[in-house]
Amino acid sequence: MKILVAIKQVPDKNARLQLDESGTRIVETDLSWETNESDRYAVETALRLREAAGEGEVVVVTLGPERARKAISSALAMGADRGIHLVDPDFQGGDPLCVARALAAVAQAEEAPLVLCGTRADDDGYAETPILLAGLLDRPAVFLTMGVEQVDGGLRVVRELEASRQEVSEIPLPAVLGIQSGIHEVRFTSLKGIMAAKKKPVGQPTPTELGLSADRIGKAGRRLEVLSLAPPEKKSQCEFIEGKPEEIAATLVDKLRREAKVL
Amino acid sequence: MAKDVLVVIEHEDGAPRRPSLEALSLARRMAQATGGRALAVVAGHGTEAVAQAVASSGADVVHHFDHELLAQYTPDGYRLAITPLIRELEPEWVLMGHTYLAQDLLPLISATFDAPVISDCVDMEIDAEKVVFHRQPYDAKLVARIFDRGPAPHFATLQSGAFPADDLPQDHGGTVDAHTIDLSGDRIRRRVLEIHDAGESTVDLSSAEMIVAGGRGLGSKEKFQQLIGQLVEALGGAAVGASRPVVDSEWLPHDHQIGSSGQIVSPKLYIGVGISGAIQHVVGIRGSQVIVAINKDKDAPIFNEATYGIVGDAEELVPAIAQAIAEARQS
Ligand SMILES: Cc1cc2nc3c(=O)[nH]c(=O)nc-3n(C[C@H](O)[C@H](O)[C@H](O)COP(=O)(O)OP(=O)(O)OC[C@H]3O[C@@H](n4cnc5c(N)ncnc54)[C@H](O)[C@@H]3O)c2cc1C
Ligand SMILES: Nc1ncnc2c1ncn2[C@@H]1O[C@H](COP(=O)(O)O)[C@@H](O)[C@H]1O
Repeated sequence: MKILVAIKQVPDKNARLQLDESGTRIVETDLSWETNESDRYAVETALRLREAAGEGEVVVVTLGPERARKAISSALAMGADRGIHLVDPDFQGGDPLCVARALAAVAQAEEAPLVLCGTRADDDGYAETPILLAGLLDRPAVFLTMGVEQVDGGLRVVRELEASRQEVSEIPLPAVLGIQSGIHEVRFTSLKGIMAAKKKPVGQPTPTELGLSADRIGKAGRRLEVLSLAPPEKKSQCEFIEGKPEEIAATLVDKLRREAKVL
Repeated sequence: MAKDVLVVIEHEDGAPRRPSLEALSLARRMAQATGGRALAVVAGHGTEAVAQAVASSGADVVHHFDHELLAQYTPDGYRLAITPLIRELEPEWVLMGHTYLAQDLLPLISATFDAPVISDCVDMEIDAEKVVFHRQPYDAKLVARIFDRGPAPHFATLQSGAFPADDLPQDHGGTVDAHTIDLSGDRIRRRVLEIHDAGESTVDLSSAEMIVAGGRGLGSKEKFQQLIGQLVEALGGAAVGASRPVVDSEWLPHDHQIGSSGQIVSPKLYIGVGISGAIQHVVGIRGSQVIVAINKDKDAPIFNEATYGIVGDAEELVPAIAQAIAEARQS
């Protein structure tokens, strides 16, 4: 089975974010980037499904500028077979629906019966692209997947629920899954994997090649407009304790004893 | 045309769930501002009482779909009831709480209306021209004000607790409109086999008096054990908690996880080290009497929850704090 995995490159978790003059975007220069956390779990899940079946192809797709090529390279080094980079400027700057439209076109062109996504891109945090994609493709989907195996006629899927519960269900293929972080341990990349990745093909289809008109994708196609982006107002009651470590420790203990009375 | 707001109600044990009531409260505010109505939809089986409760709690009309194939939530069952209703009612907005069910369902519906979802909103501004929602991208390090420039219907989900439901009436005379729906099993593509607990839990953090919790910021399993261990020992015993990435990376078994997909805790003292304070973690610790946060980033959202905040490197701070606590307990 061919499995398409959608991965996004996002700023490193510890990155210092700065806003540009427009006050609606972060400054992208000098940031360090990584593959979105749950997307790494999605790649791992695809590789395990391929291994369990003993056949199949894992194709990773990312929509993003030139820098996002590195997310593809990392997935290829983990063991994915091929990459697709939606790098054309017309793809960039869209909202989740624009991204879902582009991914839907790739899924159709590739005729991939299974599409795996992460659950949430940790930058914008919409947590909706996989299910929008399922809606556009009219496929069954499961969000927050914590387990998946191929069975007769489709997939058996474990869905995470609130309050530490899980739902086990079966869905037919073709399907879309949003993979939740923690589903499986993610493998380390070997040197051999990194060397092999260099020879694997990465396609760069244009919107036209995918049959997408420019006003449905990217900046031109988006409905959601960011009017402003700013640090949150601090409404916290937090009392910051400052000084050298020993001074901080002494002050904290004193407060926990006298004010909070918890020690 | 009046600008109606439709809330998709989730229910449990014969009553609407809290996130749905929070959405209803906001729907009433939005409807009031634009002269529209607050509408609701309940899908289920034997759920007449849920529909009645929602009508009493402030929905002007509750659309009720009762069918045996709706007894168990499935995206297809709910979608087949709700999508045609939206076409018929033409609401300006469709709202839900940002729950697991909403994330599994709502984008499926919005996609058929060529609309995205403004998800996980924490605030709203409304005036004659437009509705603007606030969300918190980058793990709540920033706030974005978002406007949907497409045509109605617009879709949004609301972060749990961000829009309090305290102002709902108890005896609102809303009506219940019972709909018939023609559903057959072959149109429901998800066949639910069972629902069970995620795993044996041997750690009960919910009744712990003192909890020391560590996050990914501790860097490794070894550092986690070392630094969290020092604090636990200094306190003369405390329960150990963790953020999700810590258990995902198998530094600690799953039943130590605190948060929306872990345990809800309410200790006298919670100390969080190297934890950023994402909403999914924070909802699990809000019942704590005193929260101490240690984080090297002064802008980490955990400080919005903390009683006492310490900005710095855990490796430098924790040994000093552990020592001071141990000494204080001995004196
Ligand atoms: C559906 C869903 C459910 C979820 N459920 C949960 C849940 O139940 N519980 C949960 O915790 N999360 C949950 N999450 C994940 C959550 O969104 C966050 O990703 C997670 O809580 C982040 O964990 P963290 O703070 O340990 O890691 P990070 O976000 O990586 O933060 C690490 C922090 O450590 C600080 N730091 C780094 N180095 C140091 C140092 N040397 N000294 C001091 N500080 C340092 C950094 O400044 C940073 O703030 C869920 C997510 C989803 C999508
Ligand atoms: N630009 C993108 N390129 C590829 N996949 C994406 C992109 N944006 C989102 N996704 C996928 O959709 C998931 C959810 O993203 P979001 O809805 O933006 O939170 C991610 O975990 C990815 O799997």
